[in-house]
Amino acid sequence: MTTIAKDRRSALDRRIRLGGDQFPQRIGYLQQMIGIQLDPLRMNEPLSKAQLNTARPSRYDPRSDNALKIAKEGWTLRDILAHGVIDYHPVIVGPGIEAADHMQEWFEAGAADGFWISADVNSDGIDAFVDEVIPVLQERGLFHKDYEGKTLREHLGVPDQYGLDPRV
Amino acid sequence: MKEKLDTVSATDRKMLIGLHLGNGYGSQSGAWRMPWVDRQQSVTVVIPMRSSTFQD
Repeated sequence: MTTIAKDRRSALDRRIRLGGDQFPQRIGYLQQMIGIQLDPLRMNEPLSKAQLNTARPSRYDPRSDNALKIAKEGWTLRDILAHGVIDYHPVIVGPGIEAADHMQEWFEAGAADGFWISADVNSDGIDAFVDEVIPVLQERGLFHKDYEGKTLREHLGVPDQYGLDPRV
Repeated sequence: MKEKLDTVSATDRKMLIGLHLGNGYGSQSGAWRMPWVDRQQSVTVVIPMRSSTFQD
């Protein structure tokens, strides 16, 4: 799930604009993920040293380690949530190179053969991904530069068959 | 959604990338309200078609 912007701060601001009004509700779950009490009236503050020392990632949610890691980087509570730590899929918040690096890491480790990209806002997010991330992947030799054929059928290697009878 | 199947050797392995269009607006719930987004997007056929030809 991507928010591609020129830097981390602009990407976070964009995500805050898109969903910031739901953050107070998410604090409840974030609390459970990292095992400490969080105050919805202190969204503009980073977590205190005491809080971070007490925090422990929950064993029951695999996203908890990442959430705590982001919290320890010193982001404010609002910014921690803007990183998409509770989103259902890995979130990219920043310049295109971060998406390329993440995808490369997972691909080369054999964790995935590919990815579904889900842009935050389709009307400009898809273009941002295509313009900023795809060229980097192509340059690194990870993504094809051209299609094999002219039609979707050719790209997928699907034979010409209309129905059950393979002669047709 | 588009993807390409590639059967090449392991050293030349290429990533598959697909595009998730979802409801047409975007994955974030506030997407449809952004001032630069056309409200008709999810009911108009033209706009999704534009999204799916981006790689040409």
